[in-house]
Amino acid sequence: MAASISKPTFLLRLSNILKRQTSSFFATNTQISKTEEVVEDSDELDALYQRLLVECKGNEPAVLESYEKFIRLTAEELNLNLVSVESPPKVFERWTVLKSAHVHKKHRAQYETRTFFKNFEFKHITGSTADTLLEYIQRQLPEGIVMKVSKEELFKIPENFSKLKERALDKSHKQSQE
Amino acid sequence: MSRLLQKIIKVTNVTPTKSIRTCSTNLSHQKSLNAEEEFRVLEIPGWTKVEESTKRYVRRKRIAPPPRADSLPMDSDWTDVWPTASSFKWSVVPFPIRQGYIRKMCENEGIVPGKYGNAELMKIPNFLHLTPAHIRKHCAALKAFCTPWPNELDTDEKCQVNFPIKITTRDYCKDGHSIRDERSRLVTMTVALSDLDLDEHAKDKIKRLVGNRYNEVTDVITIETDQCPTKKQNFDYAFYLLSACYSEAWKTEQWESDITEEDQAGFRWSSSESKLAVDKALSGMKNSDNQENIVKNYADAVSDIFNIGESEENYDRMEDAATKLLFR
Repeated sequence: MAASISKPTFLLRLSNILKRQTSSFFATNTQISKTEEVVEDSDELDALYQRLLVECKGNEPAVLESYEKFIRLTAEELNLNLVSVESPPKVFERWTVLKSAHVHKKHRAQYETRTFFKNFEFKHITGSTADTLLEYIQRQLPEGIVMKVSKEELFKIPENFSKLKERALDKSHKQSQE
Repeated sequence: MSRLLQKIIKVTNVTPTKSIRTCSTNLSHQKSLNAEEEFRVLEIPGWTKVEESTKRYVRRKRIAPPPRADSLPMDSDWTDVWPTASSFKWSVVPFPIRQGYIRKMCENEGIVPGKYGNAELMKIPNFLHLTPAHIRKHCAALKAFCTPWPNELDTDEKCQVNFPIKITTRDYCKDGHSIRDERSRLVTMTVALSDLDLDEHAKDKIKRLVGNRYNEVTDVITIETDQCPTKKQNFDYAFYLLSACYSEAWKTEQWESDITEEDQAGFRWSSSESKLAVDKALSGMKNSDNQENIVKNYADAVSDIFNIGESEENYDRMEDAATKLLFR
């Protein structure tokens, strides 16, 4: 089948990540050994995501912008299909309240919260790639920024549907005979 | 006061076994007492003579090392200098940077504060651990865990043909007291009605079963499940609902024989009197090459009058179709 890509086993993945971390953090000049040789394919089939929507929001526009640069560069390095990066309109929520408890109506204080948004849309991404990407970008999520990830996974029509059809037809046939 | 104390001390001298706690401001008496028993003595600086302690504890002054930025070689690897996320350190960052606010031009000589001890730079999250060099290094390691998208599914149409069911799930990543989020249990399933194996009767029945979950314009059934507590359960429930509707749609119950033409969702030409009339009219005529097309054209024109509505345009279409049908 076209989309039968097997998934790299998780345990091996984890051990590789650990190896990688120790080598990169504690040894400055050692060349990191190639991990491709170690990764083995498992029998489990990979998930297929037609669309992966990453929505971020936060109070600091500058931080969001830096985060956008980070995601753009990551997508480029991992050869991902980053279709669009959008900045939906910002939302300012304001409250005007009396400065004192009950009196002095002319004197008021105004508070506001500012929320800025960034949406990233990836297209045609496999399950293990999506897991790797999300693990990475969610670990690097800066303070004060939240993320929502929507995944659109593709499925075939279940194989038991043809059986369901037969059974239903049989039943109605028997009923009509009675 | 001191006299009184002297009297008491005299008494204690007589009976040395008894210990009496006292305090004295008189040094001579105190000394005589100390010889026999040790008393704690209140020392009042400036009044009593206090022997200076021989050694005073002197805290050793730590000398701050010179900033690391000064000794960084020009070709040093920044990923080794700043390996992980941490707040801004002025001594490590080698480039000049200013941040902050001055109220007047006379304050700080009118210059925005520099990096030394600058709290403003520490407040904002920095990306010094995510420079292009860092990202390149990380991604080189992560690439081993990525798999390519199959070339056979390069367009949305091909995805739709091979994998008709689409399941949308959501995950939320936030800084909070719990890593769980109630919203993440929502599962949305979409499937085009044309992708399900259904005949005319089953199609009509499944439309009635799913109700407003079917969109006439896009021909898509959308099933949203969020009643179960976990995402997995909602996922299974969505598939259960679809298979239940599908299986029910293929069944023909006994009461369905009572359904009349008026109960149908719309006008169906195949079971109408118009079809009988056309059949009757065509039976005496010889078949032409594109007879099927002409009949279908007529059927569509008649159905549109019933289903869309009566209009000048639709009547004109029917007139054309009828002329073509009868006077070829």
